[in-house]
Amino acid sequence: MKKLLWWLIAGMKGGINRARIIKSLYERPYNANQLSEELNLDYKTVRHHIKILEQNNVIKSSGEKYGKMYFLSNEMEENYDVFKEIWEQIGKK
Amino acid sequence: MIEKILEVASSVGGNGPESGDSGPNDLQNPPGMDYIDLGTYVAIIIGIANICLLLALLSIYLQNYKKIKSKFTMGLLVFASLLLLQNMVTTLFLALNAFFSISSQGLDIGRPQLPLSSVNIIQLIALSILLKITWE
Repeated sequence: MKKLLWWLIAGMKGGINRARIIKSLYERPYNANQLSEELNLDYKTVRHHIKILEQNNVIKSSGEKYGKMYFLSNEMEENYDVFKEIWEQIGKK
Repeated sequence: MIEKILEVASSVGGNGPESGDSGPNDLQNPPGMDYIDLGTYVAIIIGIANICLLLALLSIYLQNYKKIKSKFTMGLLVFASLLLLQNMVTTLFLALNAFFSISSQGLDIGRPQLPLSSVNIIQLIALSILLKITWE
């Protein structure tokens, strides 16, 4: 999980926005539309990141199609310290 | 009559140097030379393709490194840079050799380029996969 998070955030294009999504979902569940408003991101961008994060078992969803709520997977919750470590590196000079 | 002689003379004069050239050329370019050249060109083209892929990877890694300063992002940056350097040096040598006939004595690049281009093709496939999963 640690390696995976590093790769998803620091090894791929658009990783920073992925980290922001994880951070938001840690605080409370959101749907894709709310996330795009909250993070000031394009809706399609958010959908793309969500797809990748879901495929990698970082987040889970519940509900139907458009109102689908997303939250962190159990595995991600357990490894949230790892994420915090990466998060602290972001923007540090 | 004189015209005919001139014609014959000019045709002999025209053919003379050509046939004289083709002799040594045949010795320098034994059968298979075209194939060797083709191998070099393929290797150069693939080398350039590799360089392009690496530049794309490098730009992503650089963006990430600017935002996240860590061993991981630094490592990716160094990795892509070194591979880029390797491809640039190899391709530059091949190109100099192919287009400017710079002597390659003592260097392996005067030899058939099939092994080199096959290594390059494998690298091209590998880099394409890496770029694809990095771009997602």
